[in-house]
Amino acid sequence: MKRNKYFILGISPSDNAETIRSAYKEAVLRFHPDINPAPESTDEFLEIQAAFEVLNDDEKRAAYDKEINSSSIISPLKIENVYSRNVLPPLDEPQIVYTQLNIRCNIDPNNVKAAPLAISFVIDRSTSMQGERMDKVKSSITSFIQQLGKNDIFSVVAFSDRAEVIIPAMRAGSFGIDDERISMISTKGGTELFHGLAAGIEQLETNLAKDCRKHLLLFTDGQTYGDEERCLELAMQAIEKKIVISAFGLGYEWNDKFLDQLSSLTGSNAEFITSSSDLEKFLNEKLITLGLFFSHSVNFDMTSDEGVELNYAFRIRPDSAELEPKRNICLGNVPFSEQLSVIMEFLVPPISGETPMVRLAHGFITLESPYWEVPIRMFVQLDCPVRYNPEVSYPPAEIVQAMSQLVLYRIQEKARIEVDKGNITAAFKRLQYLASHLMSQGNKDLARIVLREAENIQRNKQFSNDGDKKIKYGTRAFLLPEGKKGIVI
Amino acid sequence: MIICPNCNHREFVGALFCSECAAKLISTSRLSSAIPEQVLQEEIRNSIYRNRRVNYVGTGSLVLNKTLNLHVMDSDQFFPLKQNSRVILGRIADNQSQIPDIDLSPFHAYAYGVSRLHAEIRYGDDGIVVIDLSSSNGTRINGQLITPHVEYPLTIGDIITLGKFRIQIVQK
Repeated sequence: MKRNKYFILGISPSDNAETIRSAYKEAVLRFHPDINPAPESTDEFLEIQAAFEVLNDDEKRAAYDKEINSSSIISPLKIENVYSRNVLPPLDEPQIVYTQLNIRCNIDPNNVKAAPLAISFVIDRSTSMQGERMDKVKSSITSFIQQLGKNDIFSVVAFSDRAEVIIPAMRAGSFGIDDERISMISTKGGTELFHGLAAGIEQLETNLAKDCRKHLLLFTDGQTYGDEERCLELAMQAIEKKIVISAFGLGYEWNDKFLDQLSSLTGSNAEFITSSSDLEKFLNEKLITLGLFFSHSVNFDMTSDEGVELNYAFRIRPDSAELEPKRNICLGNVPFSEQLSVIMEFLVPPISGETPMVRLAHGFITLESPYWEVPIRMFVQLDCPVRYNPEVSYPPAEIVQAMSQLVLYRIQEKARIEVDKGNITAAFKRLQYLASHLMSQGNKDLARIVLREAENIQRNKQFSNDGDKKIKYGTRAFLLPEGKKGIVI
Repeated sequence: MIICPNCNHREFVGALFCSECAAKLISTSRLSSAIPEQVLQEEIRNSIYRNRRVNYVGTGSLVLNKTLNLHVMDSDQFFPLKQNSRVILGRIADNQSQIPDIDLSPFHAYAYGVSRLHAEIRYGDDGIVVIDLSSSNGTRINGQLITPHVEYPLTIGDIITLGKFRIQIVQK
């Protein structure tokens, strides 16, 4: 498929000349040979240059539009932004503004053929998994494999202090019912995640898994010691290999912060499995969602006005996860049926009355999809005009709604930090705030759990075994729309 | 910075919720402009809450389903605030194109440094806020100067100072 000149600049035929120039400017920043010496980027730059020369000239653009019948062009994605405030007043102090970025897929899933899945199950076989936990993981995985399409690829890796490939990558169709390799996995040793991850990723790189949608599903109940940094490096490599890592934490001893960070890097998240019976439910949900994605690992690479900082980023659709607030973030996955939504909080420095506009972020959303032959690039600009606004303006309901729940997630994070630091009084008060807000927003069950934990930390100076995780994943699930809140604890 | 009326935490202008206690800091309900009647009632005067946060239920949001009044301090004057309404405070002078909803000139507003269009008060379902309208002498909440054109959340008992003119939010 030859990319048309609009797609090369990441814009659409309806965009005006100013947007075209902004997009070109951003593209130059990324692909100009002086800035990016990679040979591919030079070719890309020449194409960008050629596209800009045509589209920046009204006459040439009109002729080109006619030639390609521009009104018939459908962009694979629809992107819209919502701001908490449409204009910013000039202030001599910093202020914040929230934006919600919504990305929707324009492609009808019925008209395209899905690439097969390649799934690598990476199972923690440390001694603590022994018994019901391990049995449940084994049976859930086996039933998962049986539900895969016959051309889907899977592999199974078990790890303790080192990794063992139990089943090398193979087609799900060739998996026999009498195959006992999964049920024979025994438990022994400690938890060293790095080896398991590395072996799982290796299984996704075999020839068989080429051109598949690659997923690594990690099952663990413990903390990995000392190899966190190396695991994160592996996750960074996984991004380049288009591998999505999802984690399932069993019980309460696993390190949720670390696994959330690790999986969030690749655009997924970690799930908290309170009881073994939930595992199958979560896995089934996962299987459904895996089949429904237009694209994985959607990236947003942006630049901002000087002094503007991205404080916080959080994905609220299709699943919820905290994102690392950096200039190049992995936003997550775009499903066919639903939108990908990310809330971003920008801190704007003092602005004078002469500034016409604050550029929160200009940049490109980039992604690859098994349903689209060429890599997709879309230009996004988040701008806020500056002026005194005498009119009453209200933040859009969807941002207020999302923030009212997101603020609760952030409050529980603060309470956890306070408990870690031994600041029990502050944490107790904060959990009470949290409980009363949950109560007023109608989440009574979670409110009760929070209140119980508040009493618990006052008595024992720490959370109960799984209290902190219950509150964290409870408030996180609360962000999802009705019916998708998952398993209520 | 704006100050959370529930826990006094300082937040950046533009924050929607308090990051410490999750209280809502903005008004989101649709408001209409309403010109309040002037009333003077003994019973209102007796019900002034001197103490901040008396009416909190701990959810971080005000219980505001009762009539609120603006009490012109050191006088017997009360202006009732209707829910879902917005009023502009100021004083009427000659040749003025836009007149305030509440005219404070009978209370020597000019001498106290009140601008013609000084500040706006918005009272929604979910809270009450004040916005300074670029007044000459500024607006303060409980002594702290606020930035013009930015919503500041208020609570019952707060004292708003327009120049040197003091008004208190009281509940009936």
